[in-house]
Amino acid sequence: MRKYVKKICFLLLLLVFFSNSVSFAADADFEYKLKALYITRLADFINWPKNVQKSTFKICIDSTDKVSIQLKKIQLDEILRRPVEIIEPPTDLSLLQCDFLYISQGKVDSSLVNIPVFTLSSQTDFVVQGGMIEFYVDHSKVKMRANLQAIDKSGLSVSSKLLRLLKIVESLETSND
Amino acid sequence: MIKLLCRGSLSIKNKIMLATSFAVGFSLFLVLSLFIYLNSENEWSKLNTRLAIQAKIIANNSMSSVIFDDPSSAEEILRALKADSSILDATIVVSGRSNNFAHYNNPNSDSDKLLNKELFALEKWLQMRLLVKHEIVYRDKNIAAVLITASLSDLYHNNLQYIYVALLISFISMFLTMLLSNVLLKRIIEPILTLTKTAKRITTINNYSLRVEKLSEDEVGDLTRSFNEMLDEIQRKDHVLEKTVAERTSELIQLNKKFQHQATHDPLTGLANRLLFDDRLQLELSHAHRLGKKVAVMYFDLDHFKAVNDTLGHDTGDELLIAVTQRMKDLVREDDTLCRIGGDEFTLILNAIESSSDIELVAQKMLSVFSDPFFCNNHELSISSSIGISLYPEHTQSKEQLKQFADIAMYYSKQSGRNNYCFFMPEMQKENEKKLGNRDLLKRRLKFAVDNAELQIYYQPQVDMHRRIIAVEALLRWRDAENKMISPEIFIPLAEESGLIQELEEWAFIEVCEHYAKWINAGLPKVNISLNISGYRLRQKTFIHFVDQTLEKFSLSADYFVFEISESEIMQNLKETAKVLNQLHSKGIKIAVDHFGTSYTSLNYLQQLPIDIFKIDAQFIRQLGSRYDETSVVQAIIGLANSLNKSVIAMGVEQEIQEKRLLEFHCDAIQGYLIAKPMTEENIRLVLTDTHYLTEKS
Repeated sequence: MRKYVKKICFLLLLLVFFSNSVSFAADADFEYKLKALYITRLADFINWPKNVQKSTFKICIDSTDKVSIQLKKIQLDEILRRPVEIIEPPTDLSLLQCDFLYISQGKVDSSLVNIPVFTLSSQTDFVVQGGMIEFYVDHSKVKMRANLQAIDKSGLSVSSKLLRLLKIVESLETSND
Repeated sequence: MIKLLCRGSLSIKNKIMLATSFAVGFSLFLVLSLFIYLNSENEWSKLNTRLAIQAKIIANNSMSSVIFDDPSSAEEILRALKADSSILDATIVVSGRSNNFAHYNNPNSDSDKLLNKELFALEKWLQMRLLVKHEIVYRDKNIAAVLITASLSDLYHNNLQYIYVALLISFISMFLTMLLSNVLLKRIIEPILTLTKTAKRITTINNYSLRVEKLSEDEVGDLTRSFNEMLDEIQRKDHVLEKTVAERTSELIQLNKKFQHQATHDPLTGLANRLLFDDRLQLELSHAHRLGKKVAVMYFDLDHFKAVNDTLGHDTGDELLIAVTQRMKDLVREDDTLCRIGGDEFTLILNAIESSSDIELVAQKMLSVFSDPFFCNNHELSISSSIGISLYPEHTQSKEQLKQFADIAMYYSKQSGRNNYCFFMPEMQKENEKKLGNRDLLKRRLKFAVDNAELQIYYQPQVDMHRRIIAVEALLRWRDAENKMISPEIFIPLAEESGLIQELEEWAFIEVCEHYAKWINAGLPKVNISLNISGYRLRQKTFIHFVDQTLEKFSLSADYFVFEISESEIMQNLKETAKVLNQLHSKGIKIAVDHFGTSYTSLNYLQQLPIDIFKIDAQFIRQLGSRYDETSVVQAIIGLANSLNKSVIAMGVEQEIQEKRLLEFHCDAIQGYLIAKPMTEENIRLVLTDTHYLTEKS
């Protein structure tokens, strides 16, 4: 009986989730909810360097960002079998502790180049500026653009499964070259 | 099919050929069907595995599309299935969503091609589709599923083709088997066919000399050998049988000829007898009538011949008759017919007579026969003859009257002093009619005798060759009021003429039954009792009923009665007589042919009649042991009776030499004065009481 209840609950949850996508325009927070959800899922398609051993999975995000609010609502316990920790973006030196860094405003710090911190943002041309993943809305759908060079420089790699979904763009510096 | 093989009119070769071909075709079809089934199972399994792998790959690859809600990329992945023509469509369904997340219809699928509309319809009808499902699992939860539908039409199409090929191969194999078995069976069955053909041929042409060629050393070879051996045996037996039949037929033909001759000729003189005389006279009258010629009938009677017999014995009398015959034969023309119609009575038919003087000339020549004495048995005998002559057509045109007139004329010739000839004259007939009046008187006396019990039954024993009494014959005797015995030869024809015969015979039968019932009551040994039945009475409709009634009255079994009917009477109305005799025989009454040998009876008729006993006439028995021994006739009759499985009783046995000869010829029984004369009922009872009576007497 309990098994069925659990299944039904999960189905209801999915129903709520997908019904939200339908009523994208109606629900103002839906875009942020979706972005938050994608953030939690992206980790599964990213290959981290083997020498990086962390006890928790840290998502660094500005607590005032609407995505941060939605992320906290998800109450996800684990990512990559590590407890999830949502923290405020630290000072430059401690940025290295972040696994995911969601940048609400501003460019990617140059100190983050070549270090395994996965950078994300909803800012336009974020990936052109050297960011790794940029969320954008197309036909009422949240989609992603990626800068593979940036990802590659940081020692990370993206699963081919994810790559199929990403729109690949090059960073401005490279394109200028 | 099985009925056709088991009961049909097909030849064995065709049956075996059909059976073998059917078995081969059927077996091959079974094997091929099994192969097709196993192949189909294998193909299905391979397809299932392939689809499962494809579903798994798609599930794995499309997981990110589901997670990041990108149906277009998912459909991109599904499009990779295009290369597999067996796949009809593929769908990704997400849990909780009513519509498909991604769907792909394979344009290369067989169903879309609609290559075979009928097959497609069948596929739909039979639901010949394979559905493979693979779950998409994310973080230990089934979030979606990949569904791939594949068409089995390829598989079924292949299977169908295989079945067609299997059927074709089976039919070809059947055909080839038929051809091959036809060739082989021809050799194997040839010996059987040869055997059958020969057997049919033997049956058709009835030729047992044919043999079957042995073509093999197997069981058929053994059968052929046995068949040939059987034919050898049949041929041998057939040969023996044919030989025996030929011998018997020859014997019967000879016997038939002998009987025919005997029936138409006098055994003593070899002249034509009364029967042949009648035939010849009829023939001559027909010729004369046609050609307008005359025919003369002469009746001869030897004067005082009885005296020769009585004084010098029958042998001398017989010798005299032979001598007279010889002289007469020398005088007559070849185409004239000389006959002996009685003891010393002769007739001569003269044909193509021109005038009465010719007849007189012949008559005188005939009388000249007697002018010289005869030397018989060391006796010199002078004898004369009286001749009566009647003429056709002058005196009459009737054959019977011609005979009668000649007889009357002969009587007058005798009266006019003997050794003379006399032509018939109408006055003679009137005179004769007066004499017949005496016969009427006799008839009236007979009626008186029947009414006044002047008639008596006498019994004469019949004994086997050990002289044991096996039967007694009842004989009718008439002792008139003057105590004078009147011979049955006189009064029986009179009784028949006057219609008294029925009364006479009924009385006799009742009397015999009464006597017999008395003997049984007295405990006398049961012997057969034999009675003479006239043809006249036999053919009367009331006769059978009368016999039944009388036997019932005295509570007697019909098994002990023997009815004697004379041979000539049997032949008078054969069809009617045979019917009555069969009825009597079916009741148990035995039938005896009396005076057998005195008239001509066809052997065929004898075989058809229910005859138990032949009684050889006394005239043949009398000559046994004499100089004119008729051994061959008696022996032939006994032989004939034996071959027909009948009993023979010799009548008129008077001498021991006759008994001895009959014993040699294997005669069954005898009757005659040698054994016992006819005796009264009282005396026969004494004889039957003492069984040794006759043997002691002898």
